[in-house]
Amino acid sequence: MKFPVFLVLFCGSVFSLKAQDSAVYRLGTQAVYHPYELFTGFQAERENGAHQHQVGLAVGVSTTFFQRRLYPQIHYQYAFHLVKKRWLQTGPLARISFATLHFNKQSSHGWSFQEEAFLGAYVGTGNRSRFRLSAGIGPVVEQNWSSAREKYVHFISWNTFAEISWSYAL
Amino acid sequence: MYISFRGIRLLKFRGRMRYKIVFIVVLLLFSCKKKQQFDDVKLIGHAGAGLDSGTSPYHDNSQEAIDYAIQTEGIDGVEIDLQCSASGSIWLFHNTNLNDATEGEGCINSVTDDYLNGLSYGGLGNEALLKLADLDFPFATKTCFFDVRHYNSCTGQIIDQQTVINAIDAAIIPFSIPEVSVITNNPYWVHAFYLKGWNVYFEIGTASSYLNSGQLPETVGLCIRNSEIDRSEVESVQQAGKEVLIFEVRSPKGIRKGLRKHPDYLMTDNLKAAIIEKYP
Repeated sequence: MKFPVFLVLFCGSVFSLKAQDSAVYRLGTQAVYHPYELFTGFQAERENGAHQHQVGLAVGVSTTFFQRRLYPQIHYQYAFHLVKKRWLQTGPLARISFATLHFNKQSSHGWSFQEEAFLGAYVGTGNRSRFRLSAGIGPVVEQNWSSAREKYVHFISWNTFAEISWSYAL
Repeated sequence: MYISFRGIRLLKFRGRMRYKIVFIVVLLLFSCKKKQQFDDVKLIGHAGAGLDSGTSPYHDNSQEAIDYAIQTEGIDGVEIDLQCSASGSIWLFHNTNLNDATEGEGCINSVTDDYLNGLSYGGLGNEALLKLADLDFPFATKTCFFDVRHYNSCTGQIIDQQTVINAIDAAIIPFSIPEVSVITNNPYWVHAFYLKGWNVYFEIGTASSYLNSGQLPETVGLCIRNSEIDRSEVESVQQAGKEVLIFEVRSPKGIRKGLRKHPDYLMTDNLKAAIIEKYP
């Protein structure tokens, strides 16, 4: 139930941002490495001066393509350009993401939900066509059903990500 | 759309017909794939929730990793690595040297409990090194395998087995584990474990050497690498009335191969990938 809600919010945010003003909008593709999975997908960005808002939708490569079990992840990212030149952009970023996986089809409770928050930095190059490398670190809360305790239990740990992305200004 | 053979058009499809044919072909492809059942295979978390595996959020053999594994829907138990300290207590640790994974130095067998008490694993989680007596394992329905180490690589000496047995005995008294299952690769340690009434799994390189060894009567089963055994050998061991525990199972492909051999236990380093493969 959670995932469709996030999907609607994701799509809605892209279109509502586009309707607001004449800031630069970008569409692109990304590959995000987490220690537990490599995600790949698409992203939409709105850039206004030094501020940049990004939403992305991706799927876990190993789980989705090699195990035929959809593993979607969505994220929102805010980045601030400390340096913004034609050939170099760099600055800090903050990202939140949500992923879900139905890993046990035998059980109605075999779902895992992961909420992550990251602080990091990025470096990019290019103006209209832009390549960017990003990395971050932060806490992750994973919720799994425990049959032993008969309730959802939360596991808090640390996680990292590294991302390579390409985007194009519309 | 045409279906042709050597330039001769045999069939021509127009409009919706082509989509119907594509749909039927896709349907046939998927319907012909028979799903295998692996309900007879129990999934065990290697060293908690996986060894040297990015898929585990916690360090191997930590309380956090064990909690994570046994509370994951579909995991039937865990395997943990046990080493005896110089003080005669049992600690959970996989590697040979402490400096491989902690800020400590030396081997577990060469240092005292006072030294080990303050140690934690490196990395972001900073999980504490765990003593078996402090392990919280309140799940009677889950299996817990003890992989018992017999060798002190710092001194090159075999550890006294009776000290290890006494230490395990003392540590597991508060547990609700219905039966003790130990894994050893030392043939001289099998007999004493057997006399304790523990389930002994003998780790050895091949299934045939296990079946021809003198360990067969006193062991419950064989512990073996995934790459070292095939389906027919698993059946041979099971026909001899023994169980098979397969380890070194990480990738989805490796997990699939392991499950198709139908062992009694599959010890995996990737919990969720294993559950996905078990229940496709």
